[in-house]
Amino acid sequence: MFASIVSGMALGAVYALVAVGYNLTWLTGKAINFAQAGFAVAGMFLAVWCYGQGLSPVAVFAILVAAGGLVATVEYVVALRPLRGRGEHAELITTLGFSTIIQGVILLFVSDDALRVPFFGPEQLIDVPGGRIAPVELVLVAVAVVVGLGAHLWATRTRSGLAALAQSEDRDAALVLGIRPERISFVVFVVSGVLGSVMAPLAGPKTFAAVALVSLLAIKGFVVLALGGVGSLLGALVGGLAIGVVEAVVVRLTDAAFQNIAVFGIFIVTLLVRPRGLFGERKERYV
Amino acid sequence: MKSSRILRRAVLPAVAAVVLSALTACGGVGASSDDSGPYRILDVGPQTGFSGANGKALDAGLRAAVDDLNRGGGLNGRQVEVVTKDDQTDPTKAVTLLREELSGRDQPDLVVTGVSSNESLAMAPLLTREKIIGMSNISSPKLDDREQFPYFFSTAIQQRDLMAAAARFLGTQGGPKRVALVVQDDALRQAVEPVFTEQMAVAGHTTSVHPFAPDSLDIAPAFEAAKAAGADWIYVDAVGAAVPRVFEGRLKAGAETIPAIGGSGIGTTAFTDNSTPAQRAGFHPALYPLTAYIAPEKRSPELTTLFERVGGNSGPLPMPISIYAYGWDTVRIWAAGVRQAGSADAEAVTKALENLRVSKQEGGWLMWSRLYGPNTHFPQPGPDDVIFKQVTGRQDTMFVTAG
Amino acid sequence: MNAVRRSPVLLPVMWLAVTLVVLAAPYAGLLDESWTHQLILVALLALIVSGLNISFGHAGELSFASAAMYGAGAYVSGYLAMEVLNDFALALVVSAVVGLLLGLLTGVPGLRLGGWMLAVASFFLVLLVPDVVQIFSEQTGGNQGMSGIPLPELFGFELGDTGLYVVTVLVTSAWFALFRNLVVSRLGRSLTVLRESPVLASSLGISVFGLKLKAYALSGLPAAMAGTIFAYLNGFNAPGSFGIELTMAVLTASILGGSRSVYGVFLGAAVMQLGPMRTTAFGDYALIAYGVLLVIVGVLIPGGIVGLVRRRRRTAQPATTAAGQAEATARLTMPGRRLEVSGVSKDFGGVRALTGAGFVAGPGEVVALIGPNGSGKTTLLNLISGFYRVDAGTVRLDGVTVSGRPAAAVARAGVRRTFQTPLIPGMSVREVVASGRFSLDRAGIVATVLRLPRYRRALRRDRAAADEMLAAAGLSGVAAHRADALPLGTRRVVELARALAGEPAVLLLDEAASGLDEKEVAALAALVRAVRDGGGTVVLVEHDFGLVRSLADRVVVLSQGQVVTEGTPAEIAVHPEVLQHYLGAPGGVEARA
Repeated sequence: MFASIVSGMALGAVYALVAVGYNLTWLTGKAINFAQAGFAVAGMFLAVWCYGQGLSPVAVFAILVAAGGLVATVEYVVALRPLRGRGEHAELITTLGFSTIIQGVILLFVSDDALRVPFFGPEQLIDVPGGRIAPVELVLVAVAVVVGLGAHLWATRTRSGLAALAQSEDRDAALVLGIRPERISFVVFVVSGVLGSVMAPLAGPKTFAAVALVSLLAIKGFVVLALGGVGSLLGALVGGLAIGVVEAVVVRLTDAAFQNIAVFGIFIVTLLVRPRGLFGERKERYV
Repeated sequence: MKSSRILRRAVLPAVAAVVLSALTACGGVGASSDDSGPYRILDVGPQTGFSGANGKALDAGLRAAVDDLNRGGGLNGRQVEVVTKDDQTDPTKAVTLLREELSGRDQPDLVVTGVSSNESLAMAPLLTREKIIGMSNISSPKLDDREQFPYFFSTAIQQRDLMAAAARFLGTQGGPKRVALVVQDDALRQAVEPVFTEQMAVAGHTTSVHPFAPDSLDIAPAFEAAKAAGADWIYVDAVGAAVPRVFEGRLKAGAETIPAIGGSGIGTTAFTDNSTPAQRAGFHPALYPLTAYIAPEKRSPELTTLFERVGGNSGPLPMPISIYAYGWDTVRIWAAGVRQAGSADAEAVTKALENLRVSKQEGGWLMWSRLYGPNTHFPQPGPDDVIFKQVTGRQDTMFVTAG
Repeated sequence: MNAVRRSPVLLPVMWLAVTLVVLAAPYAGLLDESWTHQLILVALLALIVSGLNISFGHAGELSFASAAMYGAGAYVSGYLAMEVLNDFALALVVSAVVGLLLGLLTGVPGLRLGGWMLAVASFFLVLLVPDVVQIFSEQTGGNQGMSGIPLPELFGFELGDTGLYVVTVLVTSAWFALFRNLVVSRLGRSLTVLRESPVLASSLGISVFGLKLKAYALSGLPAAMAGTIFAYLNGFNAPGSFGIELTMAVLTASILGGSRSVYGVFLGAAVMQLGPMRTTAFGDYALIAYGVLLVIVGVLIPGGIVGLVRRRRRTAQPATTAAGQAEATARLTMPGRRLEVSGVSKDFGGVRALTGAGFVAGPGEVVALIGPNGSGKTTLLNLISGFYRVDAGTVRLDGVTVSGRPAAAVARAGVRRTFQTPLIPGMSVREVVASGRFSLDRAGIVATVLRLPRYRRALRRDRAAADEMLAAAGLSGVAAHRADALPLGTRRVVELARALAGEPAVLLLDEAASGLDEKEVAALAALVRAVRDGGGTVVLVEHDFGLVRSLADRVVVLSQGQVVTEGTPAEIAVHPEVLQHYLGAPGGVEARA
């Protein structure tokens, strides 16, 4: 059972990282990037190609940072900036469109098979009571914890973090204080995209590179968002790991077909019973 | 002013309808089969999208065989032409495209119904009504229904025959076994599980079934369950993205010590590219004709021709040669029927195919030795047509067997 | 939305004519089998898109569940045809009911959330279709598909290809007539109000939950009916047909044609169905093309192609100032009721906004609430109108307690209000004012779409009331103008007129004069006086003490969440505490207007 839990947590770490990306752009720009998971998956395929060319892991990381930053900039300019001040749904459609474009581009180069992504660390499985765990799983969980906690501390303790959050709450006040809202939203958006692409060499060895992951991870990321609470980085971390573990446990206890339905069930129940999630804030309706 | 606004709003759909009608008035109605022009083969299948590579390979094999045929003087003195339509593996699109072709002036004499049973099941009823031969390399027993689909023939064996071969193979491994089935829980499971239970029982083995969700990212639990059920052998089948995850899960669960058989789904993927030797320990994929490596000097003239025509000699092929071979076989088999019947009429060709007087070598097809009879429109594997052997890698898209 | 009256005769006649032309085309030899097949597919897509338009375009809630409801209709119909009874009409009716129920079910999460989470939940649901189909594989054929659906029969007659075409055209034509009647109706305008702001809807007495549920249920109906036709058309159901690809096509078609348009639905559906089918060049690039289309359309054309066309056609409207309005004419008879607020307290997570506040306002009275910022005036107003819940105390109307009821119920009990920032949807002035009456004279969905006498009566009364209020407010000159394009002062008056159209027992005004120039304030004040003189109860929150002096009969002073004192304006103007904490100027402030 221990091996299963670790495996589940590793997948949960991937979901958590996606949700952290969602939360970062939400907190600093009130926008959720549906294409966040697309960055990770595209990064996985890029990593496979790079490794195939014989590039070192360091070079691969560098390429992913550059590519992620570039694509995120393009997405911001094309799909987000023109929508400043419009209703909520607008960026849902445009980022969904961008996510679809990413899927289409991937499909130009590969079919619907899954590709093995080499891990830059040790690949030898470790024997533990109850099964075997892969080193990449441990690294994934560790990285998710570091990133989640780090982001949370940045957003709540550092000046730049608080400024970034503040400007999305009250734009005018931020302007008065000399903070430039547009620039902060843009920078954090790009950082979020880079976070997505840079997690590829870590997540890929666990999930394998597959186009179907773009939608799947995007949705699971939303489930984490609901469970952890929109806007809570800690919630993204805890929620993600929790969902991963629940998935692993459900698969072992019930019929295979119920795996996704169980996660869906958690999603709906959370939304109906505790809409603000575990760590979210209660909002009083106001006029 | 009010009425003009209404006129504008309501006239739009009316005008659209009239314009559409006018455009299509040019398209003729009425089907007729030409008696002296070329034979027509219509290939409705995916050329783009998810299974696009599959469909393209099948089409290439089809055209290679047609080229060969035409060069040799044609069929019954007439040339053969191929028309390809892209349905992107969507059964609805397939039917729409088929209807379009059927409403044109030239009726096809043979329709190749895609690469999936969904496409075939969608198109087959229409082909029955229009009395046109349909062929595809699908293995769904639902199409083995000579009442509903009297003019449909498959170029691939059914799961039942594969499973019988597997059960026999296990019988040679020393006594009855406890066999576990690890399969993805979708159409593949529906196709494999019933015949698995049936055929293994016939051969005296005991069985257990352990499905996994098709998009599951961790398949180790299914293997753990198989281990827990005390399996001596595991029969594994999966398609697409699940394949590499199956191998990973097998190793993670510590099930690589249990020898395994791979089903038809795994056998048609390049799984050696996406798995490690440790993960493949003790793994015996089902090897159909042309999936196990045949050295160039041992290849039949037809196989050599096929390789050359589809570009296998100038670079690595994107799909296994067996897929191209299915396309090739479709034409060769159908041509044998047309030759024997003297016409492309569906009833006559069906009769001919059910009582084919030429052998595989004479007819020039590549895969299966035994074909159709009055009771089945699916090929039957010969005793050595399906083997189970460990493989070490690929060459010329075929698996290199170990030892 | 235009307030242009549709000719009651011309539209149905044209509708019928077009339907007949399209029906007759195959018999006249104009359409062959493959074209009728294509047109059926266009009609199916149009049906699904119309459903999406109800929940998305009109109610403003994006849900991707259409594919799931389409699939439900297809599977239910296939099952019925094979296992129970092969009758098209039966399958259609059962599917319609299933679609209604499923629409309700999938919309329930949307009630609490809306926005992103509804979209995501419905997206997830569509991803689960194969899983659900597999679980019920005995009935559905699982992922291998449901095969062997027989050719459709209708009342014992077998429908051939042309027969199915005829039936499809009839069903589509009938549904779209109802759809059009729905969109161009009080219900349709309620949805516009809801889309603008759920708060606004509640303040007009419209139950947000009820309206949303109606929208969700109605959006499922056409999709499921389309599923019936689809199942018979193919003779085969594969779960892959009801997945994300279809959802994307539906969404794209909706946006292309304009998510709020009626006829644009056909345009979008035709383009999506006939376009990608024709150009195989798209093939490998199909997904990229969808994505680019979504991004472009999402950014550039909110109203779709039809919206683009409409925008160009709309003539520029001259901005009229309040000064250009005619003088308020008719007298208003508006019997008010007695409002009693007593001992009300409200806490906001540690911040005490109100402590034991209370006052009374009776019919034929204008009571002003004044006080410095943060004194709790707006909070009190929100509590009275039901947008916040009281922690302690009661609000009573003629002795009946309304505190504790949801905002829509309080509005229906007769409490109407305006907002600090006017909430005006994109409709004409007349329509906005008429929307104040939507919770009176309730006509159900059936009466609405069938235009039964009950609905027509309600519509007539709406018009009459709107005209009366427009005249009283001097807005008759701008009645047909887009209300949200007018200057602030006029919009405030429009809001007031809307509140009055609802026959309020109590009228609450939230800083209605702020940002207005002298002329506009005068117009506003004149209207308020007319209400008071007609017997209405008015409570206003105001900063402009000059206006208060001239308008109010009594003044209630709040400070730091408590009522400090009460009195006539004259008394308050010289009250030492008030002067000290609020007014500042010794000797009071002069009356204004």
